[in-house]
Amino acid sequence: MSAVRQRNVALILARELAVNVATPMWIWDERGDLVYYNEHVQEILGAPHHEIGIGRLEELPQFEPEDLDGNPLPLTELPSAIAVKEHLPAHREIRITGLDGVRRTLAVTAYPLFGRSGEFCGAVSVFWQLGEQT
Amino acid sequence: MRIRIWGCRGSLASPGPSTVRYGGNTSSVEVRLDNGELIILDAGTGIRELGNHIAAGGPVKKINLFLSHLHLDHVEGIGFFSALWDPDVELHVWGPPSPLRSLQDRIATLMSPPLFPVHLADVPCRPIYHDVPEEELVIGSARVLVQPVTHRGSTVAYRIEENGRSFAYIPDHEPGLGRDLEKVEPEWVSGFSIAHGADMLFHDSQYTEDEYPNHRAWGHSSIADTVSFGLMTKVRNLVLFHHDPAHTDEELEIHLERAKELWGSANDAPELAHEGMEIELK
Repeated sequence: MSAVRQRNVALILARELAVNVATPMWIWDERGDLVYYNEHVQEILGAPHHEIGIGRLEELPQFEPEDLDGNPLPLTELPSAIAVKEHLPAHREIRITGLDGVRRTLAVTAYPLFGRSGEFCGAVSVFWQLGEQT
Repeated sequence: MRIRIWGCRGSLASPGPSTVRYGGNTSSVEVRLDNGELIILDAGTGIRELGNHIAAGGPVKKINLFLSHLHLDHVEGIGFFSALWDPDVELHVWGPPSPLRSLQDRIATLMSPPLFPVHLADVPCRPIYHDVPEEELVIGSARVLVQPVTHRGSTVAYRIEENGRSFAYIPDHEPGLGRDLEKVEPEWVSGFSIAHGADMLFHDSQYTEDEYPNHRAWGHSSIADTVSFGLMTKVRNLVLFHHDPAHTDEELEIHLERAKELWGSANDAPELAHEGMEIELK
């Protein structure tokens, strides 16, 4: 068989959803590598699509996530991390600082993806912007 | 290995004067390995005649039947497969796994009253059921590679490799769902690695480019997407498979001309699958 890596069908279909919606979405693989984000992610991170340099789940703290009371949120409490590391769905309203320095309030829903045999193959994070302040 | 098509119609058996040349039986393909072992791909209505052919050729002790998925057109012939009624045959049935129900239970839904007069548990042959493994298995002198692909319901593609030759079988597949295949990286294309570089690919080609927009997400491909998939995977021979039941012989031949036009001069020109088609890979 080809040496080309083949993504799980569940990830492929998740990506096709992300391509075709106007909602920011990230897709993680089973190891926590960010394998795809759609162009609308630039609306919440405040940078052109090609300048969004996230590669790993562990890089999320660079956006200084905090809860709505201003308390810093550790990685383990971020919905994306819960979906990837614990294989559980999670939802939270958070505040982040974009690459443009703008603070934005977001609702985040993240959910794990299990393939047809039940194997964990990654996770999807979906974002809705609730407000912003410079 | 030697490959023979016993059924290549999609969705519904469609016998009649308008389908005589390419056939009306649903998917079933015989693969004879160089060491004589028999592999069957899918149990559509074509498997009835295949069973008769096998029985006429003398006793067969062992058969491996690989189901791509459990849609009716790929399993509806199983109750009429002669080997099922022969207690001396060791029949291994392989199919896509489900976390909810065993393969045997899912097939028994079809083969039990009121849909079928005899319950699967009562057939003389005692089939041995297997979930296909995630990667590959060895059957006789061949490696059988397995991969889930995009289609409605749990569906897998197969690739059989023997003595340096490879045959990929993806009868129901919609790799172009929601995207332009020519703009997607290969690792994100369903079925890419199972088809890549194959000597022979049988691939879903159910719809014309005009028909496809009204059938998007039904799990099947347009002729154009089938050709794009064949080109991007660099297969040597592409066989258009899973003909729509509404397509007549004459229409299929027009579709073939369109496929050849899109294919260009890359490798051998695409062909239409037809009942009785035999291919030897050596």
